[in-house]
Amino acid sequence: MHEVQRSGTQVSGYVSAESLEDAQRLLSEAGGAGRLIAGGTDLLIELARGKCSEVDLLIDLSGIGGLDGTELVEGVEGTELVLGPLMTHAQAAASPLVIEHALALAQACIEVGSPQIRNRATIVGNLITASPANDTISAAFVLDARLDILSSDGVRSQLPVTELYREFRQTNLGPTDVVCGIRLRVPAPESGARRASLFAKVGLRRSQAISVVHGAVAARFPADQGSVRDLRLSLGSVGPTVMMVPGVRDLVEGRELDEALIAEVAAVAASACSPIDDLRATARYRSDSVEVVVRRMLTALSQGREREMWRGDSPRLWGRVPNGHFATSGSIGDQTGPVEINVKVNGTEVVAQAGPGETLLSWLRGQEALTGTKEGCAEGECGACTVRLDGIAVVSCLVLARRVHGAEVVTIEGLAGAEGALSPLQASMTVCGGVQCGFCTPGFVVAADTLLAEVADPDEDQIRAGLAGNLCRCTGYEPIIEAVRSASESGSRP
Amino acid sequence: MSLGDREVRRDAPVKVMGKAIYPGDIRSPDDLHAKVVFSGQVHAQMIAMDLTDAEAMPGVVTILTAADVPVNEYGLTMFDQPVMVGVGDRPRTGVDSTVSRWEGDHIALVVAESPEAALAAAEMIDVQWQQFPIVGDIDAALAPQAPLVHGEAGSNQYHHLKIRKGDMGVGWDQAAVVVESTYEFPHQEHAFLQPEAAVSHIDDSGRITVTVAGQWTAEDQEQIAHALDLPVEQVRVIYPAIGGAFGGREDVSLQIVLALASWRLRQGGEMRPVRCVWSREESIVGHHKRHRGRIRTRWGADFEGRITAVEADVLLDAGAYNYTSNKVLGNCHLAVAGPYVVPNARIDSSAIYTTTVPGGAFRGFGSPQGAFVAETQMNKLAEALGMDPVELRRRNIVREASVGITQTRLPDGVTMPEVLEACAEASGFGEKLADALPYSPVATLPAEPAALRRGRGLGCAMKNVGFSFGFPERCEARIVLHGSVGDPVPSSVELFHGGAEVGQGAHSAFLQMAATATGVPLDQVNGVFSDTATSGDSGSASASRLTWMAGNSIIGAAQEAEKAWRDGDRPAIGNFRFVPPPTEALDPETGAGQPNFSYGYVAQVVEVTVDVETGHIRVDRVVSTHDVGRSVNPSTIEGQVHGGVAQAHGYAMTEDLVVSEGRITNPTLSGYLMPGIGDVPISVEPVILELADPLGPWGVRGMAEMPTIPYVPAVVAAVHDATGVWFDEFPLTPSRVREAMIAAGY
Repeated sequence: MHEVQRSGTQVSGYVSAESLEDAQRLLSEAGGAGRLIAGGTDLLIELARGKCSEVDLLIDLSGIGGLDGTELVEGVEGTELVLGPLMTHAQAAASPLVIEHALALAQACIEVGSPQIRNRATIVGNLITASPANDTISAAFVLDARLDILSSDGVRSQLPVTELYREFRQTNLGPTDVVCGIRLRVPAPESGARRASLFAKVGLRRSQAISVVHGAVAARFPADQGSVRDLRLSLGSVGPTVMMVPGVRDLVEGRELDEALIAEVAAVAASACSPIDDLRATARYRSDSVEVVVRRMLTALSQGREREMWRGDSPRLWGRVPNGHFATSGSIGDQTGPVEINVKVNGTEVVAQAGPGETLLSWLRGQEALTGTKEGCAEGECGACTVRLDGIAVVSCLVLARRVHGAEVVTIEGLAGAEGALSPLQASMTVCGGVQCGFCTPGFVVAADTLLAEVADPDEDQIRAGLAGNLCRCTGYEPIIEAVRSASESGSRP
Repeated sequence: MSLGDREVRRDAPVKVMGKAIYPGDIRSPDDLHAKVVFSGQVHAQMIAMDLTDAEAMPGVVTILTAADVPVNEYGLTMFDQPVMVGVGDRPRTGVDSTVSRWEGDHIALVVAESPEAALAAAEMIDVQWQQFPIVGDIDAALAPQAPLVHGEAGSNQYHHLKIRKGDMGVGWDQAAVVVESTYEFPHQEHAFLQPEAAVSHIDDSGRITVTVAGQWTAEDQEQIAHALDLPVEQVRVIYPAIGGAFGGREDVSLQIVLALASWRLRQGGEMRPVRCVWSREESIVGHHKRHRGRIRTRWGADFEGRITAVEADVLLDAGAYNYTSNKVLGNCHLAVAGPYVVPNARIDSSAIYTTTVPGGAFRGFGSPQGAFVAETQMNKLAEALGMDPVELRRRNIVREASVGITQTRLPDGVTMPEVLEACAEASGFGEKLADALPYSPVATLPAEPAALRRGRGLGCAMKNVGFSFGFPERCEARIVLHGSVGDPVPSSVELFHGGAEVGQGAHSAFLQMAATATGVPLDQVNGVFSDTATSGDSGSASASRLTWMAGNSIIGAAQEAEKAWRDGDRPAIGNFRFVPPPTEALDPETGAGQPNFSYGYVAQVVEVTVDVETGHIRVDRVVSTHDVGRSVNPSTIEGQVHGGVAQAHGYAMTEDLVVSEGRITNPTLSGYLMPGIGDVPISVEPVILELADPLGPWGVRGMAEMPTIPYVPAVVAAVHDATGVWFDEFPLTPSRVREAMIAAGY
């Protein structure tokens, strides 16, 4: 049998944790068989590919309320920005506090995956998955982030992110450690000084791209114009773990970050990394790109242009949901085998069985016979299975069915207008040629409908950003863009 | 009148509501579930297979193997592939069906009560394999003492075509400039959004009925009937909504094995439907690709820019089985000389068996590879001569009454010159390149103006419409006119047609043509499509032929029906089988012959911005110019242009299927990168000419493949214009581009 056909890891249990302490206890009790799940966008793919075969119980954190926010707190070492452990990439990229104090992290977050992925995937998940290609890690490195960790017996500790990684995809977390938050220092304002950070990513596509090289930089520019202090530079996808580039702080401290010095730092960075050839690029290309990207990052930073490309109004596919916050859903106790879940699907309460590892996509198509939601890849790449969960667009192939117990799901079948007539968006898709084979169409319609609920009159960049998580092989996208534009506020005006 | 109107396609409303039914959406509570077991063996002989443990698994209904296939062979153009690799079967040809020649060969079909049970049982099948050496690519296949992939073929180089035209000695003597290059091109995966799926059942008339996504119902029916050794009447094939095809469903996937399951189960009294849905990974591993290959070529031209000689050696990697490789090779063989008058030519083209994924049909069918070579050679000649690329083409391009590379006059209606001129004008090719918006390949960083270079490139091409080389082309239609005896005109029309709606809008085009042919308003015209029980043989949805062929069949059927109407028949029925002028196989020694009856013509100008420091390329503008003869539906035509350009863009830029040691190493959509909405060209401008094809219905000319054909060489030329660097291979990934820029001193 071919390896791509082999069955994935089947879990026999699923439990929704009531709190982080509860999650820690469940994890300890499960021995090695328990695994925490939050967004699940990495874990469900790993399970489907038969990895993590030791996992038999999924402990879901994502229904716990109040853990996806940000706050400024006064700590021993001064003000800190604390991000909740369930904060998604989309939430971080939309957070005014993160954008103000940790721009590199906001930039890294918005460069991850697609809107649908960013709406489920948590930053903590991205950090602890520990792939050297994970974009938020390089940002967290230069921002001097620390993790709050809850260990067995209720012991709490902090760990700098730079000390988190042991080797390729391995962290120093204990098997029953739970990450409870991310802390970023927010230094007291200094008169005339400027603090800045910036993230950059070289990929092979605009969206849904695994980094070929990513990196971040942070520095302080004191009032005595021209010099730079506390420069931190990190790089990812160029070695087994994300790395801080050694020696650059001392090299540049107090000096003017001019073209020559920038070139020097770029050369140091290029020689510090140890990339390999893979499917996406050669090692030589990676080293070369490091030199280019570091040079461009430092140039932008020194010129105060780190926010130039930032668009605060990029759509998130939250529809009208404030803060991208999923409603707190019902909990499910630790039961093996299928259980009944209660879900409001397209406005109707339904009760149906769901297996412990079953995806929402499989449940909708099987239990509910809602076959408008399509499977095109089962790994969150194509967006054909896009639905709304509590009003927010997600890919249903990477959400567990049990997670939606007590929640509200809207599928393509729930989007028609009055008496089954086409909605304005659906009508414009038919008129503008946005439909050919039609297999991607339900996912596009759900995504675009959510986009229009959020941004009544999107410009072309916003349409492209909002639909970046949906692949179409027939239309070349232009007719779909035209359809969304024509269904928007200005497009539908007579 | 409906022809030429921007009608909303008939299937669009159900599709935007999620109500269109694709094969994988068909379910019933009593379904059985099948797993097609792939060998996973690149090159190995099956010594023994033990099903004992697998059959003992819970929920297993039956496991079918090679021994259960009445005639264990299939293939669209040659029976060189076993339905299942295995022992104890009954092949009719000399193909050794015990050998797995590719990781996607089928070895068993497990039928069970659930998909999970089928998979669990499949994992328990115990096979003993004797490993054979891997023949991983063309070089391995052509090496001395290379193992034979097909012993019965006698050689891995199994299909060979020639062109011998004029006198090469004279051609080289007249050449003032000579350009010689060796080009390499990659596989391309179709990546239709709907992975393969099918349901098989026994219908009320006792027919084995397979509901599946394909491109040619009648051919699927024949392939099933052949393997099951049944009369075609006992097999029925139905196409529901199809989630894209692009040539990737030209060959069968699930058709035969699911029909086999229903037939064997019925013999045991089991009548439940059997369904199977492939995962994306199974889809990418399990169906053919656009051919990878290598072409070495040498072109000469005189000082005036007239081509004096073309020689080329074409090698296409056919993979493990022929599929349509012999036909694709034929197209590439013609395309490699471009749409030009070539007085002297020597072309040798071969298809090569390897133990890798088969090459086969994909939009353009060998022409994109040929055009990459021909157009890049022309653009290099223009550089060598210091001549404008448009002017160089003017001096060589085929015109009405030109003699083609196969030494016969091209079919009338040659509009390549008009298409070229329209493209040059619409794109402003002779004018200074306008500025584009700044481009930063790193989204969070400002553009680096010093690293940006802009350029513009041209490509043009011609490609056959319809099947070639003597294949018996045909297309059938039936039209039924309804009304009362006293009615002067019919009140409604029914069209029965087999042509496949793969997403391109064929059925809606058929209805518009039927409305036009009968004079009945479009809203009174309905269709019954793609069911061998009700529709005839349409031929395939391929070769840019379907609107052209179906239109002619619809005109004929409408005329027959009108005769019956005038004779007083109610309903009045017209059946028609359209047969275009015959074509010829090429002469085996000279390549002389009339291979085609109609061509499509295309020219494209592409503008790019290159970041020479990162190797990223943005395509700013594409002007894609087509002679469509006559628009049936302008929206649909524009859709083909946008979609075809996007596919070609992926082929040019990001789509990099990696086949190593016979295995695809990136069979996922996260590993095989098709363009997203942020990656496609910023602007695509379709320029549509309507210069009638003399044989086309209402002048219609086939066009659906054309946008994919000259795009790669146009991009390559634009990148050269921007940077001075030629690329003789692609995709133009940042890594490849940057390495070349480094070599060029950037």
